[in-house]
Amino acid sequence: MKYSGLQKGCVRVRSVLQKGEMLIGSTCLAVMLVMMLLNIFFRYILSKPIYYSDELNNYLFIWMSFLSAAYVMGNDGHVRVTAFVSLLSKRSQLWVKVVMDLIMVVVFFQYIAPSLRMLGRLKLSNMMRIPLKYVYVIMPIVFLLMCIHILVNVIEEFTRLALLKQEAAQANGGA
Amino acid sequence: MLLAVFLLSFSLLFMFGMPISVAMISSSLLYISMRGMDLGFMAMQMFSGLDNFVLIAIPMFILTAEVMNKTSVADKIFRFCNSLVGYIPGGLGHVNVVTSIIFAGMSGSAVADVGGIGRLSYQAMVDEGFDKEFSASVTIASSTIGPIIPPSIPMVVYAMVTNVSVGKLFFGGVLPGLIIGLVLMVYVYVISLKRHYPKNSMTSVRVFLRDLFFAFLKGFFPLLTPLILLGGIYLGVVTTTEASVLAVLYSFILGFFLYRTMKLKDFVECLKQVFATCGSILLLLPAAKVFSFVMTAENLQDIIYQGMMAFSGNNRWLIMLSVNILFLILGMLSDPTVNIMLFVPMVMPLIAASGFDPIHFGVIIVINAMIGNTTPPVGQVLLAVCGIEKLSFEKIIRELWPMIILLLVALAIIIMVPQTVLAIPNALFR
Repeated sequence: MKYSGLQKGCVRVRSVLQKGEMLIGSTCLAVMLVMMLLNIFFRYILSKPIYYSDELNNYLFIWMSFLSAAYVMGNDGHVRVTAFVSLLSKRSQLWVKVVMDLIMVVVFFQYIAPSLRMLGRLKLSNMMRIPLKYVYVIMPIVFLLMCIHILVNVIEEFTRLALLKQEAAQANGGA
Repeated sequence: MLLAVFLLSFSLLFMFGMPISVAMISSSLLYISMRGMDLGFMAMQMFSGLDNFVLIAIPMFILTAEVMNKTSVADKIFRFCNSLVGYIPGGLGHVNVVTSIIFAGMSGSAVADVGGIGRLSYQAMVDEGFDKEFSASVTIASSTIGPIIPPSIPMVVYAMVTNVSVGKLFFGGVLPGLIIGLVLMVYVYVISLKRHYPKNSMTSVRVFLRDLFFAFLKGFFPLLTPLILLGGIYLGVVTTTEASVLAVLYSFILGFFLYRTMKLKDFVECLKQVFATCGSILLLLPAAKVFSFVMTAENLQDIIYQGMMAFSGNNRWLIMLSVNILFLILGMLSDPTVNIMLFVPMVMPLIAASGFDPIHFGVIIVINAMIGNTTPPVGQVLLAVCGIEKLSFEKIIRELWPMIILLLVALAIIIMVPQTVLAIPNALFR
């Protein structure tokens, strides 16, 4: 296979990225759980709510959501409509998918630079008074992660296309 | 012109199988760069699409269901239902419906229901000699109850876009969920008599009561979950989001201390599992935010408002009918979360002007969206069951359509009698 070396590298890149996303994302989820339980405890037992709890949880939730979205993209698991595409042949389906994926890469890539520029204009957060740019930095990160994940998917699709071609050739040769 | 490009590009990308969320982001990107607006601002819009405390309940509800599925809770609920309704003709069919109702009180999404407890009921039905297609259809139809009886992810999203109280919505869903369950059970009963489906044979009332009692004892603690959730919200002790966290804690305590089927490692596994799946729902929210930004900029709400007024005049029932037809069609094409986020703000002024209660309407829309979830071409639940049980789509449809019609009848009743929704929240929140 022509693509095998490249493909192996890509799959490794993906699994490393996904591991990182999973680690940070599920930690966010766990911290949210603990924070909220603590907040309920503090409010009722000590009648002293943690004033920054809601804000912190919001930010953790946003980080988790976007990282999870990137992770799901790595598995190619986002909700899509396949009813129309499934009418096509297997080969055309793959080609359509490649085109869609490439459009997606372009879209997310376009967002990276503007969202980086946006970071410079942000101020401090309301409750915790931390610079918001450290919170919003998830946006360019996620756009970049999306691009990488989709590109890996595209390379896999090309491998599948090559496989289909081989199979077709074998079937013809055998006949 | 710009609007046409925007809508056309979205429909094309959507039809050619781009993920719905990304298709929304892409078509809005096209529009925004054509208008020469700043993309950095759009990135902020996406961020703010998730910046809402209520939304944190979504992963928590998924986590609760996940933990419940991991501990042997599903099994216990199934046994309880089996000793409760297994003796009615069509026994396991009713068990399937009632387990869905009970599990609905612990989970907020229909897909989670068919993947967890739905599989158990389906397998049991097939083993007992029910037709596969019939069993699958009952599983699919009863899974619609999941997000109608609280907790409910679509209701959280509805509450977010309309600013109504999640608590009231949750209580509003209780009776409609039961009505739908009842309607389905009547249907299962009739069909079972006709086709001679099996039931559990009752030896004596004493044995029945004894079995029921023990099954109830074993299932008692999981059965409390919805009470804790709703009780916490009702008493004003906690917000919905905090209640969702307490539900997680409760399910964890059940699995860890009571049943001892869960270790800390399993819980971490659940966290990871939730992380690995929730992204596909949650990306829809920022995507819908930028999408609706464009729709607002182009005044699409107004266009739809005018169109519907032209169609239905001033007749409030015609307005309700047209809104429902709109949502049914949307439900067939797209995801419930997306439909609620994008189109509820559009029709809300119309609905409010014609004197419908926003809580009543919220429950109607969620039921409507769930029915859409069971129909082709994009019925997530339908596709999930087809995928898991390896059944053909067409064969299931043949068994499923009478149930879908019954669900629509139930929906009509709920629309026409607002008290079915409003009785409980009105009595509680005075």
